[in-house]
Amino acid sequence: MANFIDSTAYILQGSIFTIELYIATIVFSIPLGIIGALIKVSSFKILNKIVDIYTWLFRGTPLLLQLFFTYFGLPIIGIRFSPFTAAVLTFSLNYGAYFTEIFRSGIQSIDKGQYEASKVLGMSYRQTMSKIILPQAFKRIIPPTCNEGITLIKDTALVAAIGLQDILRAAREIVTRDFTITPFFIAAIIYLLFTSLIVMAFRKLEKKYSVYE
Amino acid sequence: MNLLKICKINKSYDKNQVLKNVSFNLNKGEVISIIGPSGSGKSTLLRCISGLEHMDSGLIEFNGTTIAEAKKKFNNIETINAYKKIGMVFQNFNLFPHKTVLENIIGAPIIVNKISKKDAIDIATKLLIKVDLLDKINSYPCTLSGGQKQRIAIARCLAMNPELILFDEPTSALDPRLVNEVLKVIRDLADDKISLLVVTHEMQFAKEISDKIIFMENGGILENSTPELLFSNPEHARIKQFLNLT
Repeated sequence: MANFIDSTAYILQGSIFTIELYIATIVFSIPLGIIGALIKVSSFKILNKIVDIYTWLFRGTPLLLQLFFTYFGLPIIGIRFSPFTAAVLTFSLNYGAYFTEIFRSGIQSIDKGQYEASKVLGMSYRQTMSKIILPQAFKRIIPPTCNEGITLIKDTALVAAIGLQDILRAAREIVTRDFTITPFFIAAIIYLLFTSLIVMAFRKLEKKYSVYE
Repeated sequence: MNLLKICKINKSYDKNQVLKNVSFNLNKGEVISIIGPSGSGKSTLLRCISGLEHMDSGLIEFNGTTIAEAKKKFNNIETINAYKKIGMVFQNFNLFPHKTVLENIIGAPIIVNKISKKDAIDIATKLLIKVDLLDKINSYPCTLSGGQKQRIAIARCLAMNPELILFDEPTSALDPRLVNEVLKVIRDLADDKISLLVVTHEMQFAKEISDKIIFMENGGILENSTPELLFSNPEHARIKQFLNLT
């Protein structure tokens, strides 16, 4: 029993790292997604193409490959990051690409009539976007963003492969050391707790914004 | 005095010419209805006037200012101010669903005309009384019927104090029993001597409120005359057919 508590404590310690990585990724990837989406709906052709290539690259290759590339590959050509920085950088760019496409499609799903009504009322493009379009797009992007939020919790487990002390790595250490399967169950429960919390939070958000439709 | 001058407008989408040499004038205080079969270019014409579409050739003048000319972009202050005086009401209302009725109406006056919130609410309240929907002031558009939505859309347009209002088939998306409440509001505007340009399929209504009726077909104006003449004895046989006068 003492063993069980020790194991849980050890794995929970890894969860601090998981949470840090999670929050850091969200903090960087969401603004990145907003900027990317605004560029994609604008008429700046060159910037548009750049964002296109960015999302194509980062959504088209495995996150694990991108992680290995940053942590094991870049040092070979002289660019060295700490494991945590490598993880945050890679995850932010990867999720930034997904958020770009999610936010873009949210904005583009808003009826053209909204732009037209705003225009004939005399609003500029910027006023139309900030007061009319983006607030409506926000509601639309809540479900897919929730999905990404859940996927991110699970993707954090990938850093176990580059030696970072997260939930999964901590659990695996105990499994190998003590030859017991229990830590995997503990890890699963912790992950389930996190994902459930996120789902609950998004559900509240969705409910709050369903007032008008 | 010519409020609106439309000179020789042509517009094509790829190979399809949707506006052919369209010209007419609208005087201050006049109500002109545009009727005709679907696809005749009526909506496109309205959208060119409101600035939502560009034409390939021709000229649009409003209050003496050229506000649109083919192949030219007007960004000067006179044009912007001129467009602010032109309002438009859409077939599909296009209310802002995430804002209450009040917020829908006061939004543009505050953001564009920079008037105070208090003054804007005053204006909105008076307009809601005018369209008989004061009790819905804090409701969201999703709770309103089609006729109510359109009346709010008209109030929203009026809040910007337009000199000319364009109506693009304002009642075509409504249940028949809701049409009259909207027509009443438009009739009141005509009585108030606001200049109106109305695209509609409501023939009786067009006949009643208009000073002039324009019949469009295939992108061109077939006839431009008074309701009495057009409805009793139009020159063209096709108009007779369309109005079921044969």
